[in-house]
Amino acid sequence: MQTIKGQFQYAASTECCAAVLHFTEQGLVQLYAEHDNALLYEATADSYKVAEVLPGLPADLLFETGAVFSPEDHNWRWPKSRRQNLTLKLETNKSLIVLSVIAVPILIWWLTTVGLPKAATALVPWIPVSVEESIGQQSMQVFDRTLLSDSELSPELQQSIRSQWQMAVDQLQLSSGYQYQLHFRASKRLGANAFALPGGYLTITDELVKRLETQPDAILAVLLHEVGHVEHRHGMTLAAQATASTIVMSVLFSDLEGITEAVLGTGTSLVQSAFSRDMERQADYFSTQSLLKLNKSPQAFVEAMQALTKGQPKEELLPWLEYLKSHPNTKERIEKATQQTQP
Amino acid sequence: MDMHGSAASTEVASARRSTVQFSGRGAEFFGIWIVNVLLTIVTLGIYSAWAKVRTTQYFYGHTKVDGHSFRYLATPIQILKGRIIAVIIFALISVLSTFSPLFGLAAALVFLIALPWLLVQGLKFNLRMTSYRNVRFGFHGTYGSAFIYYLLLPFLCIFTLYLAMPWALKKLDHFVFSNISFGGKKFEVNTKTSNYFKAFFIALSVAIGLGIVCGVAAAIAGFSMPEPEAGVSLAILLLYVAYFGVFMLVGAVYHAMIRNHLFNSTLLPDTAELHSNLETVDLVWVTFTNMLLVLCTLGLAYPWTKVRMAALLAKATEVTVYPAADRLTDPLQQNSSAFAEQAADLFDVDFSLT
Repeated sequence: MQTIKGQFQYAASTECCAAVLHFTEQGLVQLYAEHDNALLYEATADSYKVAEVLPGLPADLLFETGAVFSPEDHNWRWPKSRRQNLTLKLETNKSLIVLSVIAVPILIWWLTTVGLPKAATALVPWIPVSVEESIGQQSMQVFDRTLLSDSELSPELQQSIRSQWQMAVDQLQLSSGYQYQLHFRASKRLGANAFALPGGYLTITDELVKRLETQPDAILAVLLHEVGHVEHRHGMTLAAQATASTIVMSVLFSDLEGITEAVLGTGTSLVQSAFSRDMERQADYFSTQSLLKLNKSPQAFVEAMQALTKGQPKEELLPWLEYLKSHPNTKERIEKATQQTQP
Repeated sequence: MDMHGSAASTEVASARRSTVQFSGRGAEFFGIWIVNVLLTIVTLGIYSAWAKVRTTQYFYGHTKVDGHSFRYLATPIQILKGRIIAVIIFALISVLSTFSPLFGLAAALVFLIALPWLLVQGLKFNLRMTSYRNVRFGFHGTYGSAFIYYLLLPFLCIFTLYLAMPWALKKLDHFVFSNISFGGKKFEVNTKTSNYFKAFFIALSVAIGLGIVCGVAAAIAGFSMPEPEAGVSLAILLLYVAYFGVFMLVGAVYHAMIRNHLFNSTLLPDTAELHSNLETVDLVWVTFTNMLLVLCTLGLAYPWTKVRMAALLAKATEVTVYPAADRLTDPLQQNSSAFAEQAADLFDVDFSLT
């Protein structure tokens, strides 16, 4: 028989009183009011349980009726509640806390850099090509309405680029089954640029064509880079990854607010731009390899890169800006392409 | 109501006024938090429901009003169900809207219409799961009023160039707090629109002042860079950081003033009165240093900042309790029991991810 002081709280009522609890080894519990020793409550072992215990808080006894007994000493633990206190043990275990401090950042880093991209890449092949095509088509319509306007290039020039490109695509015998479409568009905001939408919608801007007008192979190299994005299904992978990481982050850090969320968000987008740099490298490689298959020199890709960066500030000025970029360093891209010219 | 005989004058005379006590400790909560994060990652997010319950129970249990602590009654399974539903809906919507922007638009509209319901449901759930001295809180707001105060009034305020916003915010606070009940009684809220206008415009002037200071600082930093392009990106980066900082600080200024006014104008008839004397400077200081702490430790100081904030808010809050508070019963919850807590119906879940 053991006694313990505490407070007895009546069921569904704010009424309470100081009480002394007596309990036997069989789990029989008797509660007496402290001021007059009147019996307040009696319960057998199967009609109460110990509440989940939290660090620094008393281990409450919850009765079936809704009444509660709260021990005065918050370090007091009921003898038969070892299993109940497992969570408490974990949360106050110094070595587990130290382990968590080390493991949590590593796990989060692994999740964002390896786990999620891998999961996204594994998931994407399950998306049918027709779905991708409809996404590409819809996005193309949105771009046409917002960023792009009709091309001002002469029809002859368009035709010659198109036929050279078509020949290259036919010759490469791509097995993925995308119906490639090449669109010429003018866009002040995009400048000299080219992009690929899921499902094989390629767009090249007038500005870019004008810069590379005298080097048809360089235009082809740019277009093949974009084909590389489509073949590797990079657009879909990025979309799947963004959705997955939003869910993971909101589940993991549900009650972070404001600034903390902003910092985490920035961290995620840094990792994502690293991921997107890898995709660019893959597309670069696709382009140079395709040029080799077409019996052309990867030098064409180098020329395209040089023409594109003409008039832009030197990248070496702010090396840390590297981490914010979606594309790898131009110097690196040129070096890699040049390596492939001398097999 | 369960009042025993004594005259109203004696009741007032024997009222007890005390400061809210918060006994949580940063180091202690750090252990809970970091272990919970680890378990959440290892269980692929499933444990997050248990983590939420543990965290809430810790903060409730360590907050004492008149010597009694609060109790959080929700079970992890209830939270988990809500989260699973929320994640499925979110994933479905984001996947489907990439297929069709039109679907995205329709989903956004449906979400907007469902929003007041979700908010009311969230308040109902959270208050029903909060008990003090074995009596649960309740929320009695309806979808219709929630629609008016959460969506319609703020929307109409656009046409007044947001000048009527303080009034709309007052209405919203009034809606939320006057619909909270405890022991069969509803809270009475007597807030004044003028106080909301005052707080709003003070916060606005602080925002404009800080905005000018940050703008000038970013411009100076930008122009001091050797290359104009680098200068622009540096200035934009600084302004991006400043935006969040200013927003948080101005929020603290407004929150401190409104909290004092709201608490000092709120009471539970014949039972309790709330008092708040939160110094704006204190709240701004704790908010600002908390932000720096979290940033400098890459999030590891988060548990300390949470405990610091809870301690500050508790210290600034007093409650006057009348003897009637000792004999309140809940007519609706005679059978409620923390022992046999069960998921009552399908909607007895917390849909929010937070």
